[in-house]
Amino acid sequence: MIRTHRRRGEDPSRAELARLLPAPGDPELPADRRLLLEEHLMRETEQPAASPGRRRLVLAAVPVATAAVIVAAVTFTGGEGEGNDAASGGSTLQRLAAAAAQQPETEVAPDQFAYTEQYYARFKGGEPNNGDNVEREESGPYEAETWVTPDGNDGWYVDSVQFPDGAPLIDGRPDRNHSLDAAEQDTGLTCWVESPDVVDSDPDMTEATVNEEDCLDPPDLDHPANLHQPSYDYFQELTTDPEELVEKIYRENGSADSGDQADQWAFHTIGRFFEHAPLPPEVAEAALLAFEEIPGVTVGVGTDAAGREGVAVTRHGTHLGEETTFLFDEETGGYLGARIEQIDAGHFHPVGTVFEDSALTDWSIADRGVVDELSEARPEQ
Amino acid sequence: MHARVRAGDPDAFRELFTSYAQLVYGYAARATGDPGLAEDVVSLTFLEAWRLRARLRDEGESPRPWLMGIAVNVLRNTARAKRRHERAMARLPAREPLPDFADELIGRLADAEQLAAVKTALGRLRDGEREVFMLCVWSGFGYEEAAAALGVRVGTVRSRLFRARARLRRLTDEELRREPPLPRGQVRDDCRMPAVRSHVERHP
Repeated sequence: MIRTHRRRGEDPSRAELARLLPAPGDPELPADRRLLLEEHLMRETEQPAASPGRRRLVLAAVPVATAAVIVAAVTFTGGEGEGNDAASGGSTLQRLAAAAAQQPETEVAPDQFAYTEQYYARFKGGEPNNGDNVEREESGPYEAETWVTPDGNDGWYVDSVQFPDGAPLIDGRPDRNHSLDAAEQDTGLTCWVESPDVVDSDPDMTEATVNEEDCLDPPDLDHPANLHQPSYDYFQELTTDPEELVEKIYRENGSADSGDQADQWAFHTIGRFFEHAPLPPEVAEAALLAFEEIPGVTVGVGTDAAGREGVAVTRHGTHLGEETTFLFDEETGGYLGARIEQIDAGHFHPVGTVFEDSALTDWSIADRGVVDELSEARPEQ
Repeated sequence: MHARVRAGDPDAFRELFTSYAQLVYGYAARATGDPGLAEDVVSLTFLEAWRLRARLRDEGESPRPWLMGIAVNVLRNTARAKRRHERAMARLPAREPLPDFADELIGRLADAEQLAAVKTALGRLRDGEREVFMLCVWSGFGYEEAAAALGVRVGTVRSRLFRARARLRRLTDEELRREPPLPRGQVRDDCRMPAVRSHVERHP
């Protein structure tokens, strides 16, 4: 149960609400202050917009370690106050959320990249799914690095196993074709054309031969960000209300799955947000609180692939018999890693199969380094 | 006026300010209990409104929901808004040190004890409930208007008000049972409540 259906009655009376909590006074902006603010504002409307170069200096990334120290200081001095009950208590997830909310905000300018470094002790395709009927290939241990623009449309990916030389990100995933021989890509066997007329309505257009002058620039293949392929920009617009977030996830994940399946998918959806650093603090807070809205979520202690101990947020998906854990730093609410394992027998994958054992080991904001062509832009940290 | 604001007409923008500066200030002052911070929120709200003026749509007759939506966002993350308008805020004339009208101002705001009690009560509400409560009950917004300002459905506004009422009723009951009332100094400063203040304290 995630949605509590309220009985439709009359609307809450504002008079009663106003009695329950009267407005404290009638604060008034004095006339002279108002004039002063007004004149200042009108002067500012004549100023040219801030230049991007200056802005980048202002938006320098905050090192993760520093952030942790600040949060620890802010979060845990309050607990020793006199007679605190509800606020200093609360569930572990509520405390994690409160800590995450206090993280400094990191901004990524349009011409910068969010950089993440992940370590995979084991990787076997991540979440299992309904259609699994062939054995998966196991890889690991390896490291992966990702650079991605705030709109999520451009980026670069490197890992020591599959893409040691790196590959551009397409739709959030490394472009497999990039590793093909460059010459093969440049033979111009296929290209985009105006309409089927050019190729005689041949249904298999890719096999048709066209004149080079009929070739067009590739269409814009950028896909809008969504819950499963979020971007920095997407997170800026995302609701920060946990209940709304959960509703949105169930709604957009679709109604094909229900019950445990839907709950597990919602759980995965939230957990995967955290791989996309930097999450706005308010979104991280909402996401951690949203875990509580999903039935069957438990909280304990665990260790990530890099050996860091943290708070383990776990859900056992009975439908596919796997258990997924997302780990968070106890003091900062920061994401540590994920672990997915088959724990029930009678499913396609044998008990003990580890689908993923990962850790987010570093993140920062990177300025673009080398720019040749759009897809060849490998940023430098 | 919408079209003129969108087009960047300074006179229209001045009109926007004179019409709504007090509304934004009242909301911010009650939300923060800090007159100086509330003035900053007014400045930041209109700086943001100027930056985002192209997004002012013609829907509805009044730009009130749009403007208050910006104010609510500024309050949710004052630090971010201050960073964005760092230079503009640096050009804002310095606040006078405890000016002559201080008495007058304190007189208009509730006394410290009442403010502390209000802060505690507001702290019992979740962020979304608090925003809806302050818009609908203290600032006199209609449900549709509040929904437009917060970018949520009307049903969400209604359900948040229901929850706010339930929490406030419980709080009132607790206080009635509590005898004698807490001395002033012990009113707990709930850490969840002053979202704005805690941001500001962290980023002096």
